[in-house]
Amino acid sequence: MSLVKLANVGAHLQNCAMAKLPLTKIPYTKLHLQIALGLYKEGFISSVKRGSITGPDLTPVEVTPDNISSRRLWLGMKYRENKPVLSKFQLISKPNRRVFCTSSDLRNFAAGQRFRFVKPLQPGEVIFVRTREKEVIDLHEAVKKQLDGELLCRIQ
Amino acid sequence: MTLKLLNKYPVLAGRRFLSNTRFMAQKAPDQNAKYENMRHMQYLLQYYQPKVVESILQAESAIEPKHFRERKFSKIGFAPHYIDDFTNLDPYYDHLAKKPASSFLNFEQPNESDAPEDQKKADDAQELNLTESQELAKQLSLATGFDQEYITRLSAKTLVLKTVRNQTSKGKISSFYALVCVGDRNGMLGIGEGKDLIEPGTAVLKAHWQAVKNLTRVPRYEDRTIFGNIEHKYGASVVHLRSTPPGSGLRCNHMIFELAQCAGLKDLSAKVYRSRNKMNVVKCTMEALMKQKSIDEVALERGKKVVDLRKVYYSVEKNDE
Repeated sequence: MSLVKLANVGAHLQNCAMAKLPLTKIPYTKLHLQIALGLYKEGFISSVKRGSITGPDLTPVEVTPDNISSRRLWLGMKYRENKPVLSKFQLISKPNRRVFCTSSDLRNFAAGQRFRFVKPLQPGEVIFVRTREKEVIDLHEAVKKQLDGELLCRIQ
Repeated sequence: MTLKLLNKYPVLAGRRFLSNTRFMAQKAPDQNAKYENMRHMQYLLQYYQPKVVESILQAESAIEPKHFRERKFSKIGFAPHYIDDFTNLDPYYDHLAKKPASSFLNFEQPNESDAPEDQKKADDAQELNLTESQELAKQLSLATGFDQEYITRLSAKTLVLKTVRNQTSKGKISSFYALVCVGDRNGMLGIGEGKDLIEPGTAVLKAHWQAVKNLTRVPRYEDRTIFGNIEHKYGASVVHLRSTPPGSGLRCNHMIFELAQCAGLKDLSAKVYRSRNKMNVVKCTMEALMKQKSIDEVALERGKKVVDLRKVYYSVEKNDE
């Protein structure tokens, strides 16, 4: 959806990690939900919960046009040995300069090569790719399925 | 301690009690001697085989009953069980710690008391003259907990040695400043700073001391390079460290080169941007190397399993069957 909002989410999560906060809320949008689920699968966050401005919902609440403005996504942060698990969340494709990759480019990038100005993949780094079907998946998954995509963000 | 108790709990026969116990024991009539013997044998049979009990009783018969009755209990709990004043060295039982034998001679010095007097004096004289490094190592091992030999085998490098000045009311007071890095070339690295007013050597010594105290582990990938790329900023110095394939060597700033050598890193590529002040570069690199997260650590954090593909697919395991 909006990469501006995703950039804000990235900055917010980095700030929360530095402040060692246990829970944090981000705006409830389709892209944010896809990214949050991706982070949860990769093990960067401990929980993803839908909620309101005040806190996560204990019982499921239906999202309607009446309450949509107050809906948020609550993420549980992870820490180990005084260090955050999710320490860096940077955008690759930015609103002023989008980055699109073909399947062969993605394969080379996953192998460790530099892609134009995008720095090579680091050990333990996760990159989310948005495919043509507007599906947000991990880089290695995209390479397996031989899909083209937009390099959204890199997470460490 | 009455006889009744002794009969009821024969275990107490072996225990030490206050001095009045002896008095009680003396009072025991000889008429009950046989009864006592029977009880004692029964007590032993509880724990030992009949043959062993027989040998125990035979050993006990060697001691005169009078001596057993008049046995003295030590008032001091930690006193030894035999009588000795410890002023003389017994040639058989008392041995001094053996000095390390010279390898090529393959000759071990016997107990000190057996060696001739001239040689004894010579050995003592050698012991007192410890070299400066050995003295340093000895004191450091007490302070840090590292082995003395380990400290002497550490490789140290003086990275910075300069004069620094302090402006006071009496004028400019110059002193020597040293920055030393110390490492075992196998994953441990430490840096230390030292200052001295008079001698630069003393400043280096102080810095060496601090460096050994600040020894920490540096995570290494395959014991040769760092994990991934690191970009770190310390003050005005920006250091970019990159991991390289095996055989690349250390292609970096001379300060980073010395740190990598001491740490045991063999392949590294680095570039220093902005300020190249030696002290700040060293401190920046030190922080950057500590900032690393090994792959196993990352896996633990995220709850993932790590599989080294090279080892799984290309390893050859020999079956010795």
